[in-house]
Amino acid sequence: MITLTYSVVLALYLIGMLALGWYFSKKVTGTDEYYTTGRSTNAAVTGFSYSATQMSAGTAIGSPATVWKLGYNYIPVSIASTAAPWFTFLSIGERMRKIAERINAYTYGDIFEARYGRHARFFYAFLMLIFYIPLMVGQLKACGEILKVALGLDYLVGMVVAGIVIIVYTWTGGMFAVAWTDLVQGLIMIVGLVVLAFTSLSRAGGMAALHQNLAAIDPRLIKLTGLVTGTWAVCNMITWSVLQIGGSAAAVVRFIIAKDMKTLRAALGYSIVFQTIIFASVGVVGLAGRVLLPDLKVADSLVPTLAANLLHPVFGGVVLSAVLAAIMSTVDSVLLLCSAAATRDLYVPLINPKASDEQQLKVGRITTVVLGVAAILLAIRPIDAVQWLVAFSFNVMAASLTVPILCAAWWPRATRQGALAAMYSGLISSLYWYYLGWQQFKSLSNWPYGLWPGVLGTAVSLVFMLIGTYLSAPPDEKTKEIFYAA
Amino acid sequence: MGAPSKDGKWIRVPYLRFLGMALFLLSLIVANFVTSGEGPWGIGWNTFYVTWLSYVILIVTSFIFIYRQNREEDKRGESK
Repeated sequence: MITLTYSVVLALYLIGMLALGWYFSKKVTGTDEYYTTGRSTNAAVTGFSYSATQMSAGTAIGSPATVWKLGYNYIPVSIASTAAPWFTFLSIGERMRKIAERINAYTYGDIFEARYGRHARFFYAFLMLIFYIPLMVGQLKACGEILKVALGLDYLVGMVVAGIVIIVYTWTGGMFAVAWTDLVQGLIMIVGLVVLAFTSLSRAGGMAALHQNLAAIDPRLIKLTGLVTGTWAVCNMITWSVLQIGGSAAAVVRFIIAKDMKTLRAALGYSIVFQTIIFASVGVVGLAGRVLLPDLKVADSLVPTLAANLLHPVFGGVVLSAVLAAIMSTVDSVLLLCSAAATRDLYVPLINPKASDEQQLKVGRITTVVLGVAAILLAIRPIDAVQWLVAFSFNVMAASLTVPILCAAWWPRATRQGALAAMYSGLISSLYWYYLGWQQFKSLSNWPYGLWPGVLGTAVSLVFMLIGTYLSAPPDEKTKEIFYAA
Repeated sequence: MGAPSKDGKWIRVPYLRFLGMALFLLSLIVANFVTSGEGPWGIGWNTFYVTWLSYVILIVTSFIFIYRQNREEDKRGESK
């Protein structure tokens, strides 16, 4: 009975996503609509889309599991993640929106070429394709495993069905479908996770009893530090807040699809409230889960296990849809961004510089399908540790792109040489730090001195940006006029 | 670091904004290291209040910012 109810709720959810894709396919008439909705989205869609893209399997599955393990030690990360839209908006949101309009940019790639030249654009495209595809694979793997745990469905069947649904609605409706499905997916996430949080907190005996029981398991669980080192905790917070600027290009690109600046600011309000609700709920679920299921063998199964044990099957189905929603809202955005990178940053400049808008749209749609199918094929036998696969892609991209983007937004003196030095040094240093962490701890989540690769790589990238810039001639006046005129 | 802005031709770098961000992050980090988990209301409540207060500060400051920016823009009569 439970499996049947779950199946019906999940089927309704997936059909709804396909219907949205079909509906919005009629609005796509060119690449501008396909990749940016023609900069026409309203505040709610923009805000929810930004946040839903930022949230993934890592949020819905990985974070409650990590809170289950670390208790309050991991809660500041949720707060830092909630601050991320605020930080990215304040750092680059308004500037990117203005610059994108001036140069008709669809992605960071367009902005990089206009500011730092073609080499920077190719670097960005390379980074997107190399590091975002593993991220999609990790998310699809999570889809397959969730459906396996919840419905007893074969991993391969669940993963392929979810993957095909994502590909179809992204292929047909482009950014329209991606952004609007993000809104719906965000609302489903709110309902599912809030219901689960309140129910599990109530079953744990309320907040006071929860604290006492956590302390009885391990007193360090109710402190903000104790189970992790200070440096690790600080780096964790910096990584998931400030470094979203470079690490989460798929989410930040939402800043350039809003109708106007007022819409963008209102979107920020939606985003902060949405993220507060989700991350607070995730924290409560993780803490209460530790008390209710202290002997859970696989922490990643916390959310589906709690849903099955505590909720009516209909709400259990909604919680599972919420988990799928978190995953799908990330994969669709990443897929579209990779399609844009392959089409706009590689196909047009390298293969067909005179491609018409119609040709670009056609290639963009084909690329969406090809990249989506490639991710599905790679997810047939993926590597383990979804949360750390997400963190790996994020850290490397953050180290490579955060400084060049910030400088493109604010620093007229920054030069092409400086930006390229920053990109390559960020990439190499963060990868090297991962290598050292693996050598020392045989782990993708521990590094020398507790220093995260994104933080270290960004610091190295900044140094190289300064050196490269001051050793080269300033950019021309025309570029400065485009980027920095008030 | 910053663009010339005396004649209003170039953008201004909003240093206060960046300072505010840094302060928020710093206060979060400090709170991490000073909370013991104990509190006058019982075990764990210090931690609870530190975490929830951070969410409240985030929401309140963001809405004040949005309101002020929109008001300034309305005064200037621009929206793009």
